[in-house]
Amino acid sequence: MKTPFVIAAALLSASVVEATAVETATVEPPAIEATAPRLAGRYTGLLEMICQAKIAGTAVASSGDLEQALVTFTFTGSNFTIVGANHWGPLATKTKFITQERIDAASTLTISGTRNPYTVTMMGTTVLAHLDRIGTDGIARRATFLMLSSNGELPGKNCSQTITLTHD
Amino acid sequence: MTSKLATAAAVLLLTAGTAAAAPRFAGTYTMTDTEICQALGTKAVPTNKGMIGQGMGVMVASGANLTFTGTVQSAPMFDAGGNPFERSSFSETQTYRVTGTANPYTITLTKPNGRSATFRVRFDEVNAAGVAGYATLTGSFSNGTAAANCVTQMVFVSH
Repeated sequence: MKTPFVIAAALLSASVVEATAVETATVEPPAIEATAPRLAGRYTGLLEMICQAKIAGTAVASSGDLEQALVTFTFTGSNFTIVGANHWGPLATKTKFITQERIDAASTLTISGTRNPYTVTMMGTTVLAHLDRIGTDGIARRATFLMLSSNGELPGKNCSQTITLTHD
Repeated sequence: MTSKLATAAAVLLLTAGTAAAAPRFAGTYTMTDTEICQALGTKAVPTNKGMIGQGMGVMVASGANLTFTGTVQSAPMFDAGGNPFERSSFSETQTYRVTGTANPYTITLTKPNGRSATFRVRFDEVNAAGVAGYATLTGSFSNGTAAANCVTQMVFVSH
């Protein structure tokens, strides 16, 4: 879809074409922080991902991905672990329903930038991140990630994912 | 005693009035959203390929105005490979009005051109001034293909 999609316009039942007429507004920037906040301790993570389904000729192949998960993230320094399970299945299918699968993982995470949106690098992917509700200890109690990835089914970034973290 | 009773009654009335008032937005919120639009068609190949969009940004509330800015990534739900997800920025100011007496409230958002849409909203972490610290919005809308062929879910968290 080459036409940019604008959230606010979509909210108002506007057509996608109309959404290209984005208005310029004066916006108060978020407070500038001298150093990037950090993630530490245990968070509840809500994941939501969808990958395009491939159209082959005149038929829609059994493909794509539809996935949601509720997991636990634990951050220690630049390391983190994910513990939990997802629910996933092809976006278009005639044979495979949604199933549950463990998605336990461990990796590293770095945060760069001086204000929202920060840049987060994790699991080989660069992610846009909003870090909020930052305590005097510099720890963000809320974080939201917006990321693009590929599942290899279609060229380019054919998957979109959000992760919302809430400190336990 | 009468005076005390009257005072108590007044307090009760005021309390009731406060409880009935709808919460509001004020200040800065982080917003996230997901939209999914139907792929419309009667055969295996959708005549309309649908759309999936996810976004993240900031909403600044000032009076009745809500200014949304941020990044969104969207793509057709079905594709042959030439239209991957694309990122774009958005910025728009709208007005809002909340009606109802309890969760879930009804919120109407209006664009500068006068077009409006209505959604359901749940307010949480409401302080004594009636300002919500957390809100979840859901509803359906049209992306121009058909009536109400998309669903949306948005979360707002105050800074």
